[in-house]
Amino acid sequence: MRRAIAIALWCAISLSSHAKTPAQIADAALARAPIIDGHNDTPEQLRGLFGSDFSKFDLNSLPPEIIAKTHTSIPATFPMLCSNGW
Amino acid sequence: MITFVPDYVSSAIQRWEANRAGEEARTKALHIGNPDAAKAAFSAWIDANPRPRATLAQVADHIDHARKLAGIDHIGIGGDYGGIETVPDGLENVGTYPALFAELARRGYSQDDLEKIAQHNIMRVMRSAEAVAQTTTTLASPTQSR
Repeated sequence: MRRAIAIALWCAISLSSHAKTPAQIADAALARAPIIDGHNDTPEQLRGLFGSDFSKFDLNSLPPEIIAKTHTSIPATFPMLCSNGW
Repeated sequence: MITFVPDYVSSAIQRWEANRAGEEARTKALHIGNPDAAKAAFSAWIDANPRPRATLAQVADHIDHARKLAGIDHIGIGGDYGGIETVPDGLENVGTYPALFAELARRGYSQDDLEKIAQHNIMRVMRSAEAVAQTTTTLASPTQSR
């Protein structure tokens, strides 16, 4: 719940700010249109490392040595998933 | 789809890979029958010629180039995270996308431009592909026609 509120606040701040700096323009764009990365091989890593057995890993808490291979952390990405209802 | 694969965004790395392959063949040819010596000579070359690093700025250059060739409506992100052994400096993981978009904003990309690259372009294409798929549902697929 706390995380949801934090994310909602993050979105509200991003959307309401008058984007001026490059970072603010980027944040505003990503708040409205979260990135869809069309090529991510995390599933291939999970197949190789765990045989795609979802009982053997938790996407919400992959250990650092696994994230070092996937470069993809769901909790780290979550703030970027907020949007205008998409 | 803009990739982050270092070999593809850095011509210095592409040249280095060619030189590495050449050096490996050269050291083998120089030490025929003595693989240990060939291996040592090759290792010495690697130590003296470290692989260059790709950078976030080079990925932004890549996007600039695609924009000139294809236009802002035809660019998306396809980083290949999880499928590459090294990553460009500044683009270490999915948490760094905002840094890439900030660099593009610094180069004059508008918020609309960035939204297209992040999501709107790929969604337009996927919706269009879906519309085409709807018109072809009566066609038998190869597996169905067997």
